[in-house]
Amino acid sequence: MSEPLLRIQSFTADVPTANGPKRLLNGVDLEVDAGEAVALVGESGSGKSLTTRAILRLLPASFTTSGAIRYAGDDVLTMGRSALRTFRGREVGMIFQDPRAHINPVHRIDDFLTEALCRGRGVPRAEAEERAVALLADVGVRNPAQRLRQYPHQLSGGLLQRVLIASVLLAEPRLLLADEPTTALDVTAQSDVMAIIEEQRKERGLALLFITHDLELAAACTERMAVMYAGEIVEQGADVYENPQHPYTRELLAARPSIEHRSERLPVLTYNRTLHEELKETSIA
Amino acid sequence: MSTTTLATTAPSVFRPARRTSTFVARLGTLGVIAAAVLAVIIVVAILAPWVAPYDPDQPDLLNVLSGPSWAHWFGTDALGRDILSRLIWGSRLTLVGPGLVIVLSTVIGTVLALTAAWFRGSVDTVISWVLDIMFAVPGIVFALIAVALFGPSLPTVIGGLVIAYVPYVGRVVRGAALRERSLPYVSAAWLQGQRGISITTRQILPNLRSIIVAQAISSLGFAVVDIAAMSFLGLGVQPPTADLGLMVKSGFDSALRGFFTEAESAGCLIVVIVLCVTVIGDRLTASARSPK
Repeated sequence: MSEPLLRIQSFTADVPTANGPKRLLNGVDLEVDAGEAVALVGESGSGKSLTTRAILRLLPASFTTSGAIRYAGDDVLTMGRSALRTFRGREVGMIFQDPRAHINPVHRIDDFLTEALCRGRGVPRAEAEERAVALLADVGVRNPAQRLRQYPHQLSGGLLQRVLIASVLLAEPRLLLADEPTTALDVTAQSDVMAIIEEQRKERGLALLFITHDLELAAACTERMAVMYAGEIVEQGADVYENPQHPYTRELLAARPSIEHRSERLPVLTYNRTLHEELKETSIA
Repeated sequence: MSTTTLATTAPSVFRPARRTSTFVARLGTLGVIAAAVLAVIIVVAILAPWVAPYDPDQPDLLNVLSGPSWAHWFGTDALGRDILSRLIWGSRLTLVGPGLVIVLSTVIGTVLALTAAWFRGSVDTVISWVLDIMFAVPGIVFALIAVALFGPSLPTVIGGLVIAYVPYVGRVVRGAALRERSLPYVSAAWLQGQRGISITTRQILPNLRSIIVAQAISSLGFAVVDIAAMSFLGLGVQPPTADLGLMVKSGFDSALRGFFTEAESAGCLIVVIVLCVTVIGDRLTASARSPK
């Protein structure tokens, strides 16, 4: 069992543009072991979300890719239709940033939660609802039976995110992909939702790939951190937060606002693409 | 957290709004009036055997082309048949024919639109192309072709018009379905492992409900006119069956002899039905485009 649950090997993705292909992911190497929590951090546009989309094989067909993505030894990129459906539906659970956009507004919560179970796996409706109620209670939703009868617009964002998490857990996946699951929420709801993800993950022994801008949160919730810049993973390891090696990571960590050291203006990152390319050349040489 | 406690103390606040009230709100005053008038016409048409004062097909050759009287409110036609009774019976066909056209063409159009929106790419291109070509041909031409092939009758005309009306619903629903298709909840359902057919029918379709209904009712007015026109041309409903289009036609001949009531009353009834349907359709379209 030396094979990790998820292994991305020198994965690249190019998007065709008018001026030829543009490289969006540049040799991403990332591994997530079963039951392990890994954070993927980086600035906007660095390719974090694209990486998760690539794992689920959701990249647009016009993209050209190379490299390998293996899940439990299976090649995700060459999976057939039904294998892919099983992989997406049962093995991987995706927690989205904006729960409201990802839940169909015309269906009640019970329909949303039980749909996949009833139709995809032939679980009887009553049993699926029972499981849904139990899971909603697990993720800290009070009056779950009553919530099941309501529509998404009647629930707050934090509550809806819990519903989304419950729907993901219902499928009993082995890997959670959380793409900034707390960004659309206010601070108190954020900590609640993160605590729930943490708790459920540990209880069920799930692996987690946690995508975020929040370095503290990433360090607190995960065992390992990978830092992305310009479609590359510049640094990863267990002590990136405490002991950053790469200049970009150092700058990123230094740029965080702090309560102890108040400054007039927030620091601006000086690290840029030119520096990045120079650095790569020197490190190769 | 605050919403959780709120719900436990005041659960009634969270009950979904009643559907009837939102429907009335969407119609507005004018729409409600139109709906009421249409409802009266429909009820009278349904109750025709009990409401109509005379047998609509019973000629009275001693009393032809009589003007309005207490015995015959709208007078009698060239064969002495009671015009009011024929209006009441005739409105049945005028409502059922276009109704069938719209129901069938909406079903076909929606299926085509959802198929195009789901598969996109070449499937969408082919379906849109076919719909656009059909769109270029006026509905009445399809009805005429059907009549030329299968002979004049109401079912033939309905069949021709069903095909003619498919692109009206199809194009609008395709556009809306493409929009829905690109929303995150669809990809979320996809990631849950749901199949395309299930996502289309159970996730996308319910969100298109108001647009489909609005488009169908808007087209209904046109279908009423088209079917009446085919009957007027003698290609749809055949005499002696009572039909509003046919009454305009036969009343047209009577009008040449100075008796206008038959053509006028039948024509007015068609106008009222079309007006009501169009007003309702417009109101529903407006509210479907700007969601609550």
